[in-house]
Amino acid sequence: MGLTDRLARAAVRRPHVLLVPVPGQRTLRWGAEDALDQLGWGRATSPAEADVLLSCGDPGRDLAEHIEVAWEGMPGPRARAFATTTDEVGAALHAAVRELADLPSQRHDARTRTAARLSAADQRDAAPEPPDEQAMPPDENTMSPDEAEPDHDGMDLADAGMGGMDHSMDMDMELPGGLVMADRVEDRDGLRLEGLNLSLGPLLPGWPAGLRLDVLLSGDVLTRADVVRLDPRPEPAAPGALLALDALAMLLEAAGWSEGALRARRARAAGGAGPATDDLLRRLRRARLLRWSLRGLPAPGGGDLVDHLDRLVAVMRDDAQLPEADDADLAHDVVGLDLGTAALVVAAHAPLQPAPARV
Amino acid sequence: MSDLLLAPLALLLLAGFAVVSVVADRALLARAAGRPLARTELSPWPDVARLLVQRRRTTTAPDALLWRTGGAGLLVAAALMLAVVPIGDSVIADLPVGIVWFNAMDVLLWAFVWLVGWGAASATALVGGYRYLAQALAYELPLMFALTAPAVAAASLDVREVVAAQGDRWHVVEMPIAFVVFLLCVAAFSLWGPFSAPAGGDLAGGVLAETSGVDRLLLLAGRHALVVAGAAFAVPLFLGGGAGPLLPDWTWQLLKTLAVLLVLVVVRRRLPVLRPERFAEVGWVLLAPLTLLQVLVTSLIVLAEAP
Repeated sequence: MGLTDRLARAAVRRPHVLLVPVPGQRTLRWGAEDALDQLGWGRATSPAEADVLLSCGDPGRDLAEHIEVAWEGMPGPRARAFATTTDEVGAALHAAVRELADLPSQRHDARTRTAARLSAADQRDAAPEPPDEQAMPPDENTMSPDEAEPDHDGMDLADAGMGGMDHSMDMDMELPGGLVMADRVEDRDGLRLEGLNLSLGPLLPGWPAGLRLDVLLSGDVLTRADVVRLDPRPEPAAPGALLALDALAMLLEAAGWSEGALRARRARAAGGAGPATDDLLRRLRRARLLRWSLRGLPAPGGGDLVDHLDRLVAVMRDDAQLPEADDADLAHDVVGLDLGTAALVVAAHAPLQPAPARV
Repeated sequence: MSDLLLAPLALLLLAGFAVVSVVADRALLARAAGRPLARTELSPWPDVARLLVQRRRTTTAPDALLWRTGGAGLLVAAALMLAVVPIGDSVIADLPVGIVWFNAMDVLLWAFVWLVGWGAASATALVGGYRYLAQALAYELPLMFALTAPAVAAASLDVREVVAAQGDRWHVVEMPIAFVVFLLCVAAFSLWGPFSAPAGGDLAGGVLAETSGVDRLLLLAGRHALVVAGAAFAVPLFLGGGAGPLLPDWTWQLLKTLAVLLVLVVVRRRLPVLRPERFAEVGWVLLAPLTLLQVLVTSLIVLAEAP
C-alpha cells in the first residue's frame, strides 16, 4: 500500500533490543545475546533507543520495578518479549516484531500514554503556580511527566539530599517539572559542588544482572557509592573458559570496543576454544590502545584492569577459576572515579559471582 | 568564482557519501559478526525508517529549545563546512578565509554537542556533554596547528589557493604529521569511533541517551555528515584537491574524499574508545608540540624555496 506501510515494514527489520539480564539466568542471557548477534539486530544502550524490551527470565520484584521504569522510558512503537529458556528466545523476539508492526495496537498504546500525560498535566495546571510551558511542549508525543524520570533507569535528580519532596512547601522553591534544587556536598578537592543522588544500572550495557550502584555524584565524580544486588540468585556453574570470554565481552563492550566484544561473544558461542578464540587472543595481544586505556583502573581481585585482562586470558587458556568479585571492594574502588570510568570498573566485575559472605 | 547553484549538488553528495560511510561500516560489522554481506544487511534504510517511525520523547523539564537546536546543529555545521570545499573549478562560497571558516564551524560543534547534553536535563547526557568539552580542549589546539601548516605553505587561508600552491607535490608529502592529526581531529569532532566517549555506552549513550526518533536520526546523520565533511576538506588541504591524471578535477576530488572516508570508517571499528582524560594527555603533551614542529618545518621549507 502506501508510504506508511512501507515505512512501517522497513522499520521493524532491524529493531533495537534492550536486554534485561536476570540474576541466576546467565545461560539464558548468553542465548539471547547470541540470537541478537546472529540476527544482526541492535543492542539498545538506553530505553530511549529501544524498540523491544527482552527479559531473560523471571525478574524478582525489585528488578521488575526497574524494568517498568525502562518500559515507560521507551519512546514507542514498543514491544515486550519474555523468555524463560534459550529455545524460546527466537520465538519471543519474532512475536515482539509482529507486535511492533501491528499499527492499530501501537497507535492505541500511543494514545493511552498521551491521555495519561494530558490528565497529569491537567492536575498540575490546577496548582497555584503553573509550570513553565516551554519545558513541556503540549504537542509532543511524550511520556507522562509524572512517569518521566529525568533519566532512564531510575536516576532521580529530585531526591538529592532533600529527604523526599514536599509539595506543600513554598511553591517559589520549586523548579520546572516539580524538580527540587540539588543540595551541595564537598567533592574530592574540597570544593562545594552540587550533589546528585543517582542510581546507576541495572540496565547499562555490560552490567552485571541486577546490580545497582547508588551513588552521590559531584559534577561527574562519584563521592559515595553503595552496591545493591537486586533479587540475588546464584548463577549456574559453567566452564571457566566460557566465563572468562563472557567477562571479556562485557569489559570490552563497556570499554567501547564493540567489535572486540562481538568477537568475544562469538568465541563464547563457539564453545570457548577454536579459531574464533585464537583470533580474539591475537587481536587482544595487539590491542595496545585498549591496554593503555585500561591501565591504572581498579580491578576485581587487585591490580589494574590490564592485569585483569591478562588474568581473563590466562583463565581462558587454562580453563582455570575466575577471581571472585567483592561488592564492598567495588563500592570502595569506584569512589573518586568519574561516572563513565566507574561504569567500566563495574563492568569488569560483571560476570563474577559475588563472594558468598558479602551478599 | 563562487557558485551558489552548487549548493544542492553539494548537499546531495553529502547525503550520498554519508550513505556510503554507513554501508561500509555495516559491511565491517557483518564481517566481524560472521554474517553474509546481503543487500538487506548493508542497507541503511531499515535504521532510518525505524527512527522515522519512532516517537520523539522528552524528559522532565528539558531545555527543549536548546536541546533541539543542538540536535539539528551537527548537520548544519557539516553542510556549512562543505561550503568552502572546491569541487572542480567551482566552490559554493569563495571565502578568502576558508580555512578559518572550517575551523569556526568545528568550534560551533562545541556548543551544539554541549547543548544536546545540557538540554535533556539528565545526568548521563550532561556528563556526555562534559566529556565532549574535555575532548574538545584536547583536540582543538592540535587541529588549529594542523590547519595552519597548509595555510603557511600556501601563504593564504583561501582553500583554492592552497590547492593551487600544491602543484605536483601534495602537502601530505611535506606535512604528514599535520595530515594524520587532522584526520584524528575530524574523528574527534564527529564523535567517531575511538572518540565517541561523549556518546559512550558506559554513559547509556551519553549525549544520545535521552534522544529518540527523528532527534536521534538528526544526531546520528550529523555524525556521518561531519566525517564526510572532514574527509572532503582533507583533500584540498593535503591531497592536491582535484589534481590527478586522465580524469577531470571533480572526479579526483570525489575519489580522494571517498578514500579518506573509508580510512575513517575502518578506524572506527578497529579501535576501542579512548577515555577523554587519557586523550587529553596525548593532545597536549604529544599532538600539540608535534603539530607546532610541523608548522616550523613547513615554514623552513617555504623559506628555503623562496626565490
